Amino acid sequence: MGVVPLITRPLWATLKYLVRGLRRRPATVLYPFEKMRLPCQWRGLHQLNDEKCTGCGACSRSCPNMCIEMVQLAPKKKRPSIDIGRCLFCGYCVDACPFDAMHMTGNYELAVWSRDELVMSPERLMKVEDVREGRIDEELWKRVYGDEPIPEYPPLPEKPSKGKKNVATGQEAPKAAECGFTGADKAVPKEGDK
Amino acid sequence: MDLYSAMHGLVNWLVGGILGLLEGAGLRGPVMQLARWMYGALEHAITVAAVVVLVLVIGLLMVILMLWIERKLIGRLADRRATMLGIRGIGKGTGAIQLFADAIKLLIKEDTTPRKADKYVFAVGPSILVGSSLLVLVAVPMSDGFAASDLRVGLLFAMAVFAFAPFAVFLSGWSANNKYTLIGGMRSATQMISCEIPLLLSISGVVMLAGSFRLADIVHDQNDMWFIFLQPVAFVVYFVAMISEVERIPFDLPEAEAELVEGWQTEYSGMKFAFAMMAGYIRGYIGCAIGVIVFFGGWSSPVPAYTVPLPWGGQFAGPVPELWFLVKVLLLFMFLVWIRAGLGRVRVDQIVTIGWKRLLPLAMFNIALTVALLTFSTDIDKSPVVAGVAFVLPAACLALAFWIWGWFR
Repeated sequence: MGVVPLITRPLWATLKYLVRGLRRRPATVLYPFEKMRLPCQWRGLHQLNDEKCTGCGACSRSCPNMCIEMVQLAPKKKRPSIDIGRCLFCGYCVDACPFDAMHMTGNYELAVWSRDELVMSPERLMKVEDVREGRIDEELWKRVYGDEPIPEYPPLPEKPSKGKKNVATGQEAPKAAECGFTGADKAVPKEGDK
Repeated sequence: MDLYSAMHGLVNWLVGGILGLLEGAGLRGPVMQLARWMYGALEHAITVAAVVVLVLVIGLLMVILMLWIERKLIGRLADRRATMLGIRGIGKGTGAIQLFADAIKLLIKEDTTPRKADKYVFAVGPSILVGSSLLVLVAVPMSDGFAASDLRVGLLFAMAVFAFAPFAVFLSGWSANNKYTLIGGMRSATQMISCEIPLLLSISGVVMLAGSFRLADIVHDQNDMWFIFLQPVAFVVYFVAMISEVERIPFDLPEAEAELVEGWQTEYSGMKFAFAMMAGYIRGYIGCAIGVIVFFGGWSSPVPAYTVPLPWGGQFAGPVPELWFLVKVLLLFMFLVWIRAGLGRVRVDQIVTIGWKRLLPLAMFNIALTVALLTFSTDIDKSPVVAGVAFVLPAACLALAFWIWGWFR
């Protein structure tokens, strides 16, 4: 009778989801209106810090897809421009930067109308903001559905985190938002790194 | 009241009213005489057409409802919000508009035919599929009165035409001149041969108990006890074989989208694809409807008879039987959706094994046991044997079924 658990177990698993979904929100989000909180490891569009960048070109040399090109903005001032259409978001440029001038942000909505727009100029990269918090786009919702309220579900119950425990220390791994490696508040590199 | 007499009255009232209006407007002479004569000649044809259109419209509305239920329920079973499309004020966030949006999209899509396809057969395939499915729909009554046709051989007719669809599937798969469609069509034929016989054999036990092929008689015979309690093995066999016949998920080999692109539907686009999908859901409705009629008491009320006095006078004696029927059908369909959400697809050799080695012996055994018990209890409806049968038959069936299961493993 090895067949019976093969049939009953998945049925039980799906039924649990159905019953659970009655009292709390499902695992998915309403994407264009509601955006997920991104993990701190998320690699989206690059962000350039103009004051830290020296125009050394280390990012350009480290790029495996050769999509970073150094652009002459002013005499004695070069800054990287990135062809997002070729970029594979590996983050090597961020690692290679000796002055911590480049970061990956949580910006993943990169659709544009033409290929030319895919080449991000240094000025554009400097204006990129890093938003990783979950948020609700109420403006878009109002444009589509007017004054109707956004469907609300009871929030997820606060449960003790089930993160994997570190074998050595016995402590739970930090949650994504707690680890603090979002580009904006990254610690200043130590002297020895240079 | 009969559906025919009701529609006849409606047609009479409408056409008679129109003719009366025309006469009142001063139209007289041979033209009016001709109109009267033509209406007299075509009266019954118009009534039949009206009845059939009503039944088909109800069937198609059920298809829309089932599609919506399937999408929402399968989403919830997978812990996600399913389709959410709605217009402001009309079903916002419920996905009620999604199906109509899909229909409009399929209507305005380009209708393509592969260059080397057998064009006429390619076009005829979905039509045969939808036509045969709708033909069964007409033969399935929703209550004593609400039936386009309650044939004396209704169950036999429904099952015969129900088994016609794989032929259309195979035609479509062959004519598209594509290896995926061809494999899908051949799988459909394999599946039909291996599961059609257990399907019919499982029903024959119920037919023996009821003593009639007429679906209304089968329903009336279950006033005391549903046949699922008397024929549990038959229900299991029917259910598995029915899922296989309507090609739903554990047995959707003909359109296995992971192996064959979309199976035999690969080359269809636009309205032909919509026809193929619609036929699938009509067949799902028919499979559930026949299952409800045969095993779950059809349109008889599951609760004991009661009456509630209404505030404006009169007595409320429960909802109409058609409503009970549709509710039962939808509940059975929800079970199908649940199975679809949970289970994976079986292999081709596994479905042939299930059909020939598991379902067929079970169905044969069920028939043998039914015949034996019927022989010993001459009047099964009134004798005290009925209580014994109610307990002994399921127990014996299950025990021997497991024995046969182990025998063939």
